[in-house]
Amino acid sequence: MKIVSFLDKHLEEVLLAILLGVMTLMIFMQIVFRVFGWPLSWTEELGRYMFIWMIYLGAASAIRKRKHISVEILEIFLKDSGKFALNIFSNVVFMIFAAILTYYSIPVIQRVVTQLSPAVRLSMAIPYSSVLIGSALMFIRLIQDTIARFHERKEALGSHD
Amino acid sequence: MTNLILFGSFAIFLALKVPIGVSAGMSLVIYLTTCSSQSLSYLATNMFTAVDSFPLMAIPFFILAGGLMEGGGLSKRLADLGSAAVGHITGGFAVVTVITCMFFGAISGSGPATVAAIGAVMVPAMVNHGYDKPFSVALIAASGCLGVIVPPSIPMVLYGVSTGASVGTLFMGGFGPALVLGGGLCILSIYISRKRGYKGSGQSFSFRRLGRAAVDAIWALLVPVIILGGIYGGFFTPTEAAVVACVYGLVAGALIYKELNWSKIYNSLVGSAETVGTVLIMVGTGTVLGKVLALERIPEAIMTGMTSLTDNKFVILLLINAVLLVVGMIMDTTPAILILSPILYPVAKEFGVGIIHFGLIMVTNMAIGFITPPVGVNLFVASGMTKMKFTDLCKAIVPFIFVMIAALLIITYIPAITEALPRALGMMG
Repeated sequence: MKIVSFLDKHLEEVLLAILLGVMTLMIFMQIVFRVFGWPLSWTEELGRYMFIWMIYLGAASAIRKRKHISVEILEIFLKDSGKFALNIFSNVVFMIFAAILTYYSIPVIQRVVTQLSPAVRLSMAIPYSSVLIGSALMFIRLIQDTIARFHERKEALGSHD
Repeated sequence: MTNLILFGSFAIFLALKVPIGVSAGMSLVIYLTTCSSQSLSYLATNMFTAVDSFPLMAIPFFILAGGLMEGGGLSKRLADLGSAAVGHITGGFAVVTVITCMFFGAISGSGPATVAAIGAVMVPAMVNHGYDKPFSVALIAASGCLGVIVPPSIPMVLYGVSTGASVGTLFMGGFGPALVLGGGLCILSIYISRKRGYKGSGQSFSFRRLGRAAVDAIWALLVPVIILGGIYGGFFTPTEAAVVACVYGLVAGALIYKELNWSKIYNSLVGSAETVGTVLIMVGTGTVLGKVLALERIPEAIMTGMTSLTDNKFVILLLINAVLLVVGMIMDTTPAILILSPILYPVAKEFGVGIIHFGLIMVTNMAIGFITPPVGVNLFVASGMTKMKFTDLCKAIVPFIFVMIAALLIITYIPAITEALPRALGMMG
């Protein structure tokens, strides 16, 4: 149980820190090796794939922290109940999008599984899976966030009584 | 009809607070299922290919570099240097704020990051010296815009990726406009300070103090030299320059200033990666939306529409600026640049506007969008950080918006401001 709750709280965070940290060091190494006349061929490619993984895991983590960027004009004119409804609606639309992305990225991965990347000779299914795993995680995080918003709403209503 | 479905659904999702990247994505889902023979796998494939780009990778590193340098105490030292240089004149602290933002902008490529880093140091300093709080907060929000004009700049990376302009040349093109905008903000600050009697720091100017502050800030001052010198000298690409800035910020913050510890580093890594997730998901869907608009020949339609109105370059540029300012008021920079630059650049090109010059016109417009209500990200950061009411801040920001629009018009109608430096460096054909 402890492992599950640790993963729930920190899974994306830990992966993100590792990905960005390793990317930074790897591209730095690419510069240093080139300066010494020994250019590396694999760092840029691997770095790009890690970058894409970071994007989709980061987007999932950002749901938990409510960091996604939206136009918030309408909220100015709404009371708390309206704001709540708006946030739930936005979560539901996001959920549909994440579900579509998850579902339709499966055939894409099946198509590229035998393709190898030019430099590292990695199956292209590995970088392409970022969209699948990332959007599936986004879907899960959105469900959690929606439940959390319902709890917050209940508490806010309770404290008014 | 097709266009109505695409734009209509996009606008409705946006208005209903659906995240911008998701709004673009869902309007594409609706478009693809109703008006196109393409399968939805087209979208899934493009979510990968649109962000599979080494130039775009500069974004996480520039964000991380800003975080590391703030955590490492580099921003504080820049502010100390500014105070030592001009703190003694009337409105000194206001001018220091503008100049420090320009320096920090040369480290970071983001507007809100500049507001957060410099605002945390300068707003308390200004308020302690008798400056009125709304003025101080509005000033930091406006000066933060310089973060994206002074190179490096994340919006310039996006513009370069979407139009094919050289990112390095765009960076060099940013210097002139940054001086015009920064100069305008300094003049306005001094004028308001004179009128309201804001005094200087009280300390008289001393070369010794300036020298000591400069030595203390030397590691921060070297960052822009390394980044821009490295790109211009051909030692590395903009993305690699951003990585060098990260490693440099890490070493300076942890080993020289000794203010960076493991938990600050971890938090910077995670925070930057999350910001990247929110921005790049907009790049993914925004790029696909741009492609679909091109398929539907929207850019051509807009071009004929605009050229049928007038064939006067002056009026066309005014029109483009008006469109960009309105879009900037409600839309985030990333999708605005990705969707609009492929539409508007061909129009501008027809009238003889260069690709670098137009890039700076776009980025300046987007920078003004950071401080225009209702949606101005610098305003949000500044009001959140200082606990100031958003509506009070919106009132205080008005004179700054006017000054920045004046600067925008100067930048628009005098191309030499943007193009002189890259041309002198032989970066323009």
